[in-house]
Amino acid sequence: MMKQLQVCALTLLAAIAVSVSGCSYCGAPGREAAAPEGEFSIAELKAALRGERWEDRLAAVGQMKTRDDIPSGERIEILAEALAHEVTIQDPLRAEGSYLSATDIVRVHLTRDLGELGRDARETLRESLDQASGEARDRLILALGHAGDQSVSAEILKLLEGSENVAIRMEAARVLGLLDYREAIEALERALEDPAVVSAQGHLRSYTIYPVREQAAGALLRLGVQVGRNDQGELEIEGRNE
Amino acid sequence: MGFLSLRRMGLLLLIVLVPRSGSPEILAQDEVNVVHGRIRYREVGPSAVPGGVMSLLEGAAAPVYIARLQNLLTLLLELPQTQDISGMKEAGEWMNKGIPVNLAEMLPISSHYWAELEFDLEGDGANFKLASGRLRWGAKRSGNLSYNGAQMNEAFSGQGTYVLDPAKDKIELRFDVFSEPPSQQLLISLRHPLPLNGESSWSGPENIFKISMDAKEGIMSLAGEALGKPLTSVGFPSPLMINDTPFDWGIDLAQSGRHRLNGIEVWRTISDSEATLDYDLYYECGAAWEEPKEGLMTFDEGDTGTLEVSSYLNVTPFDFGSDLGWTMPEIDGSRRTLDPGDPNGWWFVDSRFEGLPADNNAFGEKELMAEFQTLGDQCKDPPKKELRFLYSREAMNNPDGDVPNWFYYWKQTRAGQGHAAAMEYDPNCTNSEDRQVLGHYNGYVDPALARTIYICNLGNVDFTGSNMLTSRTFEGIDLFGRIVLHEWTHLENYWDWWGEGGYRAASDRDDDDIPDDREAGYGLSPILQDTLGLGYVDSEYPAYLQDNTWVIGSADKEDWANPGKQSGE
Repeated sequence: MMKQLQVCALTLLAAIAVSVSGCSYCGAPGREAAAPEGEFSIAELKAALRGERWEDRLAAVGQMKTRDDIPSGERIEILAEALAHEVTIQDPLRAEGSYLSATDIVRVHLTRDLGELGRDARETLRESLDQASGEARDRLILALGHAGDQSVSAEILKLLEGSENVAIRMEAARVLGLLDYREAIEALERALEDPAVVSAQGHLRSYTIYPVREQAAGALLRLGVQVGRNDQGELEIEGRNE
Repeated sequence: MGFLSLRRMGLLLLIVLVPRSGSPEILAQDEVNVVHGRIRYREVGPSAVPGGVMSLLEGAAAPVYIARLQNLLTLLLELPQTQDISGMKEAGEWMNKGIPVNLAEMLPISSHYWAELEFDLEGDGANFKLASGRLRWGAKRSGNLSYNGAQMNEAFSGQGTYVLDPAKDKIELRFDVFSEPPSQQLLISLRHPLPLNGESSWSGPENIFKISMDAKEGIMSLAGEALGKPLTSVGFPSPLMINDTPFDWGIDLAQSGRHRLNGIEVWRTISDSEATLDYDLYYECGAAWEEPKEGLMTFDEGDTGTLEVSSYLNVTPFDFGSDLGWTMPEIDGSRRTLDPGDPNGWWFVDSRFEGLPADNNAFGEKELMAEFQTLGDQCKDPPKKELRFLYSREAMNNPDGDVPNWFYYWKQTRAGQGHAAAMEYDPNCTNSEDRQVLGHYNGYVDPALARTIYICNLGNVDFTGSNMLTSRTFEGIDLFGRIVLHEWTHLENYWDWWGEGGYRAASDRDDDDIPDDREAGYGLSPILQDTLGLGYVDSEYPAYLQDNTWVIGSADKEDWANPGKQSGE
């Protein structure tokens, strides 16, 4: 069941990845695949990554992911610069229907895309890490985790336990699961009681979510720990109270 | 030398005189070109039309003619020092210097001659001569004089047409477009028969004599009696033929000066008639759009929604504007008024549309046309004017009146995806600095609303929005299409997942609105609210993936908003 769940989640992520150039998942009759959009020059991309509108920054991040004409190392450098800029932005605007702010979502995309690129150019990603500080450094560590670099597992565990940034703790929990870092199980179990809570308005209704607990539960499931919800809807380790 | 000869001599002197002043440099070109022309000539005065017995009175004015001819000859000798004689008016003024006589006031004769010419000139680009043409003319003369029991009367009139003969009739045009300012000479000297009809009579006191002159088609004969005896009794032939062919009559004028393709000139002739020349020269007969300059026509933002379109054509020659027929665009569902009410025969039309139509398809591209009706074979019609009728995007002057125009019309398009009846505009969506809402679906909150989707004011985000998962950006009607698709996916999912029974929290442990037993089908966890960790509850992911399939540009051709995809802005 757990393995099946992992595969399914990966399937949906893959669908999201391909949806930039066409949806292979939805396939509604009569709808065509999305048309390729105009591509920017590198200079234009860099400018867009520093744009005032989050929509422009997010679009540029999305385009970088598919720009195979630019070497992975160069793309990492550009995205690392963009990340360093992004973490300086103070904008509380919450993205449509989301419980995260728009800039948090751009940061998540930057982190995961850097990790994706880092699979082929891990050294470049490490070099970027050496030059970074603060949240940018934290996210580059997480990106290395997304790239499968086990050597940063302990640092990511520290982020889960010590970062004051909810979005960092959330992503750290997730990456620890992806890295299959079993030493993190206890910390992840503790994270099921992380106090961070967000009330948000979705397209359907308002809802409350504990972001760190959610990702900690997902990581535990990947690590083979059975997690469930009690009658109050709270996440808990299954069988612990039996 | 009779007075007709004096008159003719004066006219010829004038046309010799005028072109000598300011004579333009002639620049010949190799190419043969055609200049078309229209002239209206009118002369009103005692000697504008030849007459009968009362012409004797004009003979009495011969000293005046002679004095004026002398002035002209003097002027001719003084040239080229005198440079200000550029037309008939200046020449006439010079001619009359020192001769304060107005024959038109003195002679009891009135006459009116008019001629309309249409002609083609051929030339090398600078020198043009008559190639062909046609003249319509009309003439009328009347007079009445009584003195000491004697009586003089006459009344003649006629009209006709005449085909210009390039071998003897002269219309010449010379251009110097390179001079500063560009200059031209226009010379006209032509003659045509003047077949008048009418009669003239002169009777002495107590009918001591009586003379009559009859004109039939220009042939004049004289008959009479003296002391009660016919003139034939004293040897006169009966009738006495004055002339056996009609008089030749016509136009002699010259103009020299600034290059002008049309104009009106008024002057006094040697016999104090008032002459008017109205000429129009053109290379090509046709019409060109002056207005509207742009093709985009947008209803205003007022409550009624009005649109005014001014159409104006530059017609060459100007008079031909009366031959234009119009095809004016209409907008079904909008009241159109035209000024003038029947625009045919006018070179301008103002259209006013009141009220926006109910149907989006009533907007869009329409043709404005004007065509020459009877002159179509010789005049070039203006090209069809492509107009694009638009509405103001954010105004609320559509027939509904309570929703913005973009919502009212876009839902009718492909972007509405056939869901117009199930779609409502929500002006109260909570958008603020920290929250952005573009649409919503309320079936989970109230099952009574489970068949309706809500679209928020997209103006709050400047009609630009991104899919947060795929980072694609959507603008204008594409954003609308994306939001409709997103919310409609929620609606479809609701009915697919929960059906008539509605949402049941017991079947949704993670509170993400997807039934636990359906989550795996989407690759999602039944116990995680945000399986992917991207910032949304799981029920949003299928909707975001679906709305990303909206094909950008697929509704562009139906977007008549301004600004919008068809407005170019």
